[in-house]
Formats: sequence, structure tokens, C-alpha cells
Amino acid sequence: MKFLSVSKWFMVVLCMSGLLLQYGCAFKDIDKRLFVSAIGIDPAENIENGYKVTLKVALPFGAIKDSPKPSFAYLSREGQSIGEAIRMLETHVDKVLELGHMKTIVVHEKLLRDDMQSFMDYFIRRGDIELIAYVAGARPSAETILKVEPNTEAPASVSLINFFGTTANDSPYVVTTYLFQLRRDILTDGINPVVPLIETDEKGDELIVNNAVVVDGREDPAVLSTTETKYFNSLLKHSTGFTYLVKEGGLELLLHISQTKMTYQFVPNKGKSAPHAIDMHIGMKGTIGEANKDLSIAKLDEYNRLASKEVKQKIFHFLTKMQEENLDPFGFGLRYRTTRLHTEDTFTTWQQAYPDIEFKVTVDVKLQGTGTIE
Amino acid sequence: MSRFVYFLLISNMTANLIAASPRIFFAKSEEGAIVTMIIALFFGVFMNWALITSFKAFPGKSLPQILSLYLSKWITIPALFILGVIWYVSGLQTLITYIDILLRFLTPEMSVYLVIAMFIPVITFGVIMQSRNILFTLELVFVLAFPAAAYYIVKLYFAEQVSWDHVGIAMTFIDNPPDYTVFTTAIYLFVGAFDIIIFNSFLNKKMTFGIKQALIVFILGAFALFTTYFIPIGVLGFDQVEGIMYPWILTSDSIRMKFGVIERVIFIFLLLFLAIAFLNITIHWHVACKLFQSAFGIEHVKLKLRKKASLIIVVTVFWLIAIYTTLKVTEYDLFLYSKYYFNTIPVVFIGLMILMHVVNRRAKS
Repeated sequence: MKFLSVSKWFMVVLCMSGLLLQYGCAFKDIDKRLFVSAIGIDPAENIENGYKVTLKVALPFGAIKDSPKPSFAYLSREGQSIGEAIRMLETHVDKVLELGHMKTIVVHEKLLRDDMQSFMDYFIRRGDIELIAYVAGARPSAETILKVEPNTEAPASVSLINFFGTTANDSPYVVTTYLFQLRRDILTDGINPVVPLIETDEKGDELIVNNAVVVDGREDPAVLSTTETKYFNSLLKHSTGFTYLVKEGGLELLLHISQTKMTYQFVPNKGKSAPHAIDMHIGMKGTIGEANKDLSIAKLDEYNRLASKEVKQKIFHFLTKMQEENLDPFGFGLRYRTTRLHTEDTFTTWQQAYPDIEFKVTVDVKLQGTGTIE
Repeated sequence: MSRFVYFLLISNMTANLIAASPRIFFAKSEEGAIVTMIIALFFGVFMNWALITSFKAFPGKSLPQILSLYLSKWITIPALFILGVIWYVSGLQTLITYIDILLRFLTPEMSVYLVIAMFIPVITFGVIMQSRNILFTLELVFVLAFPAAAYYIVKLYFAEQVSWDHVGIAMTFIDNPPDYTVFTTAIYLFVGAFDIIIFNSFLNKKMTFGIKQALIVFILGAFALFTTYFIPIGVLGFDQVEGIMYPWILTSDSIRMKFGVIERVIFIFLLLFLAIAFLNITIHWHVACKLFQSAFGIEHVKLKLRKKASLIIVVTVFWLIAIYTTLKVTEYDLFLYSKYYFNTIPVVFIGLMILMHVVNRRAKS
């Protein structure tokens, strides 16, 4: 009697041959790894055109009870390129640097330029860095921002992560930009990516994120003010919880906007292919959050009118400011490119037309109520 | 049509999603990709119609059986051999791509030999399984993996990360003249059903291909092509998408499910599609294996041992070539050879249809 047929023997040998090739487990244990939680990039002080890379490494501890505060180690090194600096940093620690859990890339304000592409390349090209990592600008420098350990930071967590992505912080002042999104918008004609700007207070124990930077080719990137950031976020990203102060005569109203919707169309120019105006309609819904006088629910229509007028002014101001600086964070150029069949000069036509384009903004605020009191 | 034909069709469409085809589309994104895909969609439905109608007269018979009944050995053997090579390369191409993807994204520290060694037992076992069992495995994987895969793909359409403006820009290139390579790549999505040249021996019911079936194939194909082409463009942007090696991997890495079980969709995505790819390789190689067996007349040998020995030889040859090419081929070669391979598909299709036409006429007379 045969013990096993030939083909079954063959299968057994095949299966075993996989085992024979191994020396043991191919993976490095978790205690042999250091998890990098954030990367900071600054211009190098000593090397021309170089970068200074700072890594925020999460240190392991036995139990959360043992450690009231999160503990981090910081590694810094200058190098001609990001990859080179990180390679050298690997020689500064006894364990493997694991970048697979890295969620935030903090970039010095001055580096947020077109040549971002050259160092972003490293992050995209590496397969293990997630493309949904957040990218943020830093002021005064990425290193200082990384080294801030806010009091609100819980053990086994990183504040920098909670700010973005609306899992924890949902403020309309915080812009979220993912790595893939930044790459897409930088490489695309007709849109300027917007990156949040992280600042810190004088004592250095708080992180403040309420501004944003529009990335462009210029030496000094344009920084959006707090209000502009809010408008950008609510108009383009439909973020909610957006408040707005209306002043008219002696009346002050704080509107609480829960829904924003922006639609726009290009108004064609007679005879020419380029548009001469953008017809923009913004619809907002919300309630009154605070007022300095007694309000009457019957007069909601009037409050609507007041609010619409004020919001319209602000948005118009913001749009024209961007236009004057020749920036396009909303991607009007991108939308324009989709409206006609592609030709060689679709985009150049747009570029010439954009500085003279007229914005026709209509705002329609619909207040739902005056809050819980009249 | 039997439900298994749909399964075969869909598994091929899904496996191709992350293999070489999207890259070929994107390379030609400014040279007529969209028009070509629309043409290919209709041609793909036609191909399936032609296949099903030509096999209608022979329920329960596989291609080697049909050919040996009506044609001389001098035509049958080379034809089966060529088809075997085509099917083998089809599986090989998927295999190399997936090994590459695994090494790059899932287990970057593992040695390439080990990854291949992991594929060998599973796929070998699949290849030497009985055809009937392969169909049942297919059904099982469908029940287990396909709902999740479909869920993730539909979810992509509603993800905030997809910028429909970029999709719009891609659409503005609709007026460009069609391109042959894109055409062949796109119709490759529809060749899944051609596996019935072997599996037909288990599909005993007479199959029909009417308006309803055509509509189903059309809708499936349109959805597969639209997803394959436009979703990565929406996520990764139109202007530089041609430079990306694995557009679908980067796309799934860019999708975030905030409160999903895992925030990074890529891991679930890779595992799901890996299961479908395994299946796809197994099916294609099984078909290739059967075709070679018939071509070399191994079916007729009575001795049990000799049959098994020849099977082992086939499997060994399969794997030796596979290991050799996996180790040698660079990403550029893979792209180039995939293109050549796709370009031969219409020729093979026409050849197969001529054969079937002759056989059908002889069967009638």
C-alpha cells in the first residue's frame, strides 16, 4: 500500500520548502521599533539648500497608569535631502524607525513654496508613509512646533493628529490638508493648495491652528487671516459651526451657521471664449447665537437681510483679495478647464482672464430661529 | 447564462482593477482613452455574445473536446497550445503585479523568494483541483469577499477625497481619436467569460445570450471601466496621473474612513483584492493547465501515475517560468510586456471565433 500519492508528496515538499527558507520570524518585533509620530522640516542652517529634519518619536511605556504625560524623543539632523537626513537619523537610535504610523508632516512656513515638490517626493515615493497624513505649515519653525507638548495632550496620543481630520477638533478655523491632496493640487494647473498654519504661544505650551497658507511659487507665501481661513473652510469644505458677527446700528448679532452651500457659474463674454464674470451664489442656514438686544422672531426676515448684506461684503472682499494676489485657492481655474473641450491654450486663456474677472456674489442667509430665547 | 459565467466575468474585471490596465489607460489619458473605452465597451459585449452563441450548440463540452470531435489533430494541437500560452501569461501577469504590490505596500521587509514561496502552495493546489471545485471556490470567494469589495468601491464614489473637477477635466479629452492599446486593454476586462472554454464541461444547461444578458454585461463593464479610470483621476488629480506606478494602490491609500474599523482603507482593500487576484490566477492557470494537457494528449493516457507525473511537470514548468520572470522583470518591462500581451488579445479572439465558426458549421452538417 502506498503511503501517499506522488502529487501529495509533491505538495508536502512544496509547502515545507517555504519553511526551509526561513530563519525565523521575518518581522521585527514591536519593541525593536520606534514609532515616528510626526516629521518636521525646516531649512538647514549650515547646508545651503538643505533641510533640517526633526522627528517626533513616541516612546513606549509599560502601562498608561505609569505615565501621566506622553513622552517623546526628538531627533534632528541636517541633510542635503529629506531621505538622506532620515537615513542618517537611523544611525542615531538603536531601533528601527517606523514611518508607517507617521500622521503629520509639519513644514516650515518659508518652505511652503513650489519646490515643495522636491521634498514631498520622498514621502510619496515611499510606500509605507500614508497618503492621508496631514500636512501643515509651522511658525516660527517646525522644530519648535514639534517640541510643544500641550497640557491637554493625553498619554498615548499626539495633539498634532487630533487637530486635523475632524475626528476630534471640528473647528471651522482648522483647514485639513492631506498629503495626497497637496500633491494633487500642487501638480494641477488652476488651483492653489491651502495648508493649515500651526503656531504656538509665547510660553510654548499651546498649539494654535487658525490660519492657513496658500501655497504658490512666491518667496513669501500668502497667509490667510483667521477670518479668511474660516470663509475658505466653510465655503469650499462645507465646514459647520461657523459663527459670524453682524453689526447694524446698535444691533449686534452673532450668527451660528450650520450649513453653507456655494455654487458658481462662469458668465461668458460675448465674442471671446474667456468669461468676464463669476456668478456666485451662497446659501447659508443657521440660528442666532448671541445678541445684545431682545430679538423678535417675527423679524427674522430682516435679520436675514442684514446678515446677507454683511456676509456678502466679507466674501467679496476675500475673493478680490485673492484675485489681486493672483491666487486661486477655490480652484476656479480648475473648474473653468472642465467647462470646455481641451485645447492647448484653455489654461492660458483662463490665466489671462482671471485678474480682470468680476465677482457677482449673492448671499442668501436663512435663519431658522433665534436660539432658545427670543 | 449560467451564474458562473458572470462570476468569471466579474472576477476578471475586479482583478484587473489594480493590475496593469489602469496605468495603460492613464498613459493615454490625453490621447483618446475615453472614446476608446466607449468603443471597447460595445465590443466587449459583442465578444461575450459571440462566445456564448458559439458554445450554445455544445452544452457540457469543453473546447478541447469539441475541437477533437470536428477538427484534425494538425489544427487542434497548435490552437490549444497557443491558447494555453495566452491563458498562462494572463495569470502570470497578474501574479507578478501582485507580488510586486505585496512587496511594496504590505510586507516591504520580506524577501521576494518568501513571497513567491507563499503563493506557490496555494495556487498549485488550486491549479490541480478539479474544475468543478474551482467553480465552487469561485462562488465561495464571491460570497465572502465580493460584497465587501463592492461596498468599498461604491463607498469611493461618495468619498470627499474624490475631486469631481478632475474627473471633469479628464472628460474634456473626449474628442481625441481612439487608440489601439487602450482598446485592447479595455476589452481585456471582458474576457473573463472566455474561461468557459474549459468550464463549459460543467455547464450542462443550454445558454442563451439575449438582450437581458447583454444589458447586464454592458452595465457591469461600464461600471468597471468608469471606476477603473475615473476614480483614481478624481483622487490623484488629472495632470500627473500617468506618472504613478500603481494608481489604484495610491488611490485606496488616499481614501480615509474616519471611523471605519481601520482608518487606512488600503489594508482592507489590498487583502480583499488579493483574495480575488489569487482566484483569478488560479482560474487562468487551471484553464492553461487543462489546455496544455489536451494539447499534449495527456488526457488519453490511461495510466494514473503517468497522468500525475505529467501534471507535476506542467506545474513545475509553470512555476519555474513564473519564478524566473518574477525575479527578472522590472516594473517597466512588466508595463511594456503587458501592453504587448493585451495587443494580441483581439487577434486571439478572432482566431478562436473562426475556429468555433468552422466547428459549428461542421456540427450542423
